[in-house]
Amino acid sequence: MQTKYDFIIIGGGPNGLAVAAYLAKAGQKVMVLERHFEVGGGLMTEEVTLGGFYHNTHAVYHMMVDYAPIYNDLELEKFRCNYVYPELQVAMPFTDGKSLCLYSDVNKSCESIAAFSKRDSETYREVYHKFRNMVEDYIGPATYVPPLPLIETVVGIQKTAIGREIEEYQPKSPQEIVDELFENERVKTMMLYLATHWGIDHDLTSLGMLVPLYLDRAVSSRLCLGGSHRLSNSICRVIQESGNGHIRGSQLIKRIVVENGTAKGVELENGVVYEADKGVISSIDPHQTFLKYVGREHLEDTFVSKVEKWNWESWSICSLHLALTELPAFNAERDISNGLMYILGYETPDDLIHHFNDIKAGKLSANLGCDAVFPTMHDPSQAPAGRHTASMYEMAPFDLKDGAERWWDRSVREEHEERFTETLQKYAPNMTKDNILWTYLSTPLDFSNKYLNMVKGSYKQGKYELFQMAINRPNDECSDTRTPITNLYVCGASVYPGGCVLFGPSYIATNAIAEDHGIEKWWSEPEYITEARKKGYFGDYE
Amino acid sequence: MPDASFDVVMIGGGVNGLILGNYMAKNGMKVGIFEKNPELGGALCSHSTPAPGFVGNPCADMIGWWRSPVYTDFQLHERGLEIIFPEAIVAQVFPDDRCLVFLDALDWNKETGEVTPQMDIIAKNLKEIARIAPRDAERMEKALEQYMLAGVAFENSVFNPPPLPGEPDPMDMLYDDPGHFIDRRYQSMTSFEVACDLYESPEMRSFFLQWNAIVPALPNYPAPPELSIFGMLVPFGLAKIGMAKGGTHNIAHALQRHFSEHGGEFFVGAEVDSVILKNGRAVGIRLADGTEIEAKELVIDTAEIQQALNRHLRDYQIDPEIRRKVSKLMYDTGAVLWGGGIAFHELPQYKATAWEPKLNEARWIFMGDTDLDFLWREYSYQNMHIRPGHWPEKLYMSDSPNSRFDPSYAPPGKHSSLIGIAAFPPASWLSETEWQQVKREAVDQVLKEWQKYAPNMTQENVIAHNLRTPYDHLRINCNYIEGSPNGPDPMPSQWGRNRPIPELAQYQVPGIENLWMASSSQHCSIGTQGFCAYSCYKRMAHKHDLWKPWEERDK
Repeated sequence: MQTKYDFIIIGGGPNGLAVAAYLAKAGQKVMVLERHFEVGGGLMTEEVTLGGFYHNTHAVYHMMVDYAPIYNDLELEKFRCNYVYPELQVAMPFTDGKSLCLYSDVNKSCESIAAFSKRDSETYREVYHKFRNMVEDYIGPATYVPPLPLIETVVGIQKTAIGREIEEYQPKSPQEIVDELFENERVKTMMLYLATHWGIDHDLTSLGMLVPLYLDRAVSSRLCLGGSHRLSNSICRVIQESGNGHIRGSQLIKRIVVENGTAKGVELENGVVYEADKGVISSIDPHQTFLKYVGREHLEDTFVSKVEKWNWESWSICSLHLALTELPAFNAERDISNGLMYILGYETPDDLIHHFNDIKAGKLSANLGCDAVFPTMHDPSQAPAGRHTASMYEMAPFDLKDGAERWWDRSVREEHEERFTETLQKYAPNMTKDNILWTYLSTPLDFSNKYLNMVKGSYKQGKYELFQMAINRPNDECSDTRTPITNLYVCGASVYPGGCVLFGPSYIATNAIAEDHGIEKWWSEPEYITEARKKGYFGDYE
Repeated sequence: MPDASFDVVMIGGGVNGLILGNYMAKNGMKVGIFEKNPELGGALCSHSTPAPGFVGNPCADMIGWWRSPVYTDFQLHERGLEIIFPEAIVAQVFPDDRCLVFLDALDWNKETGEVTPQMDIIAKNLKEIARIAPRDAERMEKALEQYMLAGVAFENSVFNPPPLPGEPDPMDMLYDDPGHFIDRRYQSMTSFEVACDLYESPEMRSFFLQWNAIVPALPNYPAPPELSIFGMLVPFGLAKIGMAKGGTHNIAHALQRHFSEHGGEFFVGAEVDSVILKNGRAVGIRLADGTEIEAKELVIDTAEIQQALNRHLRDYQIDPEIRRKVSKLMYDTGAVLWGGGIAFHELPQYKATAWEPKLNEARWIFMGDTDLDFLWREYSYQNMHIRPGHWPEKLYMSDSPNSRFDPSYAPPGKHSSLIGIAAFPPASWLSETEWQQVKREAVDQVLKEWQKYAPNMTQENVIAHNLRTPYDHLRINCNYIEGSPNGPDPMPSQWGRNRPIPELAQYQVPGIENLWMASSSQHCSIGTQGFCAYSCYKRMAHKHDLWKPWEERDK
């Protein structure tokens, strides 16, 4: 059995696979080791309800398809990895039959908002373009460039008018930003939901830059045809067809072999040692990478304490996947069929704030609010002919007030499923018990059981907060993906810029590895990143 | 102009497609596999069921891959496949809290594929049987050599294509031996008759009937002797049943890795519409989306015969008698409640462990009484007529406690089991709504029955459940006619050289020289051991002069 490779990659999620694919295409011998039987991480499409119904049990739509360099670099379309970009991106029906919609076409969005507030409609048009520019000019490119020390970041961002505007947002909380911009209660509710549902506290100050990003991404989401797993499947093909890449599932790691401060390989629980001639790349969380697999004996005490201080996310997601006989017929005056994402259950900003307060108290809200996606509206292949799938996502606490263990309770699970279906039926009356064939609940506890790096249901491997972002993600010694251990790299969602299928950490790690090991880059930097460099955002441009 | 071109185009990426794809790729041919489902593997599938963090195998779960030459030909253990073999293969628990536990008596070398019987364990098994059925144990011991010979005939039969007219049948070595208890009567006996012929005790008879039923040869249906031999070898421990570590789907991954290493390409979500024929040759395939793929050498169709003939070859002018016979094939007995499973807080605590503690080491635990009258007259009928609110007075079922042997099947401290019930109604017998009701009721029925044997199997012990009905199976895989993963019913009239019908039994359609067919509707389709693909490849290798790994082995 071949046990010598150039690089060993721990974890076969989107980032781990991406690094492996770039390196394998560059002629490096790589081995990806994954704990689950299937690689893909959050890119999972599974038959978990009934036969022939395929559910995207984690990531359902992808928000950086128009930026992540991997799509063009790996020519993923060759492997039937294609995306659909639904025109109606977000629909928020209300119980009185009115609904608020955001489209890929800003004019249509403004027209929908105008029915609630003319002023908000005008504001939206203005910020739509403003946020678009911010993402295009700086935030998008910055996703794929290593973070700079805080001072240098500030110097860079202050070089342009757009940068200075971005900086103004940074100290504000999502709620402040939304309150300042919009007047109508329902518009505010929608915008606040879109600005926070990726795991940002509504009153969290200091990460305001994420609001323009998330409001821009809210109308930039794309759905992978055949299901999210098609994306990871396509990357796997690049790895394997390169002739240099190998993937192994169901592998339990015992330790990262470190000799004289250098990573030399990975030892499995079953005693097999995979040697890494050039490096080990970990796409999992800092606790497992450093405390469990490297071991404190190889690390400075100060570094260990930085890792120990890593904060898991303060809340997670509870999702329900449904097999349906038909699509929902929303009780809405406006045609809101064929949308990508539906926000359900919130009528006012207070509903949302109550929900956040309940989460903090470890309570499950009696009136459940969530978003829902119906992939078969756009891709019938994900269910048997004439049948449909749905996934509903609710922000939820990991720690219930009687303890996280309560999530095991069958009665808690079943009651909570009821709440999901009641909410759905409130807006789409045809979603009765008869039309729901089967359901599959995924609680925050389930998340952490399925993915060991999603501790406390942390689907981004750790909280988004000032001291865990940018140069501090996961800490100031690792945020450029290099670590205090020579030839050990990190590239998971716990590394700058973060999680949610951005392919940011992996792109940055790949470049760092190529530079450190003299590997010729067969890929070239996307033009939009070079443009941003020229503007001086990332230091002086030569 | 075709959109892509390969030497060999493979329809279907299930167990047969993957194995044949590997053999073709190993011969240096450029192979493209086209699979309708989002994932390769067919029955070799796993998902996070019944709840996230658990692993459920909706289709294939019992793995006899150790016996398949494919395992060694492609060195799957070097490609991430690990098969776990529990100490005991099978157990039968009775309502009076006694049990039969059959230990694994085969020593297997994963490098060479060789197996060696361990006589001391066979002796232990016979001693265990003697505690309950002394006369059966005595007869079995006396006939041990004959049973072993039957095992040889079984292997020769399943690892070879059906004999051509005039060629001897591997089973003849038994029939022609006047001293062997398996004589020509066995060719036309029902499972019930075989059980009564083999054993005297109701316990051994009951076990054999339950085993054969899930294979699936129901008590009152004629059973091919090859199938029955499998069940006869189990009590000696002369069969090995394992599980794929981490999930059955890992077998598909290992096969796919070998395939990719040898230059094979595969496409998922690629539904095949038809085979393109030109001048009596298969020159390619057309996908459902209109894409055309060229096949320079061969097309291999691994779809079940109904789909192969009625869809992929619908325009081919074939003898109408062939179409008529295929339309009359029977698919009544193979539907099962199987796969997915139940997630538990704690493992079943069988009362019968007091009788034999090794019960906890069994890969597969059958539960049922010794009511032979019921098994003969009522069992098949009552199970096949399950309706919402209408269940048999008693269920015979099996438990595969997967998480007991591989902790990766459940989160720490939790467990899952796969439940099997044979002779379920064929998928078309109930409506979608009725199937949903049956699926919901099934868990209550299963628990009610289970508690008789393991009292802790209560509703409170359940975390989540998803028992896969025949209707689920039909939708998991379009080849599972009536929800049966086994192809046409295994009856002598649809078995061996008759499978699916004599004209199509040699893996070819008359008149198309370069089109091959290998699926559950061809010999030999027991489970996912790859018997069919391997046997088909033997014919292909002979005809197209390809690599013959068996010649090495036979030396």
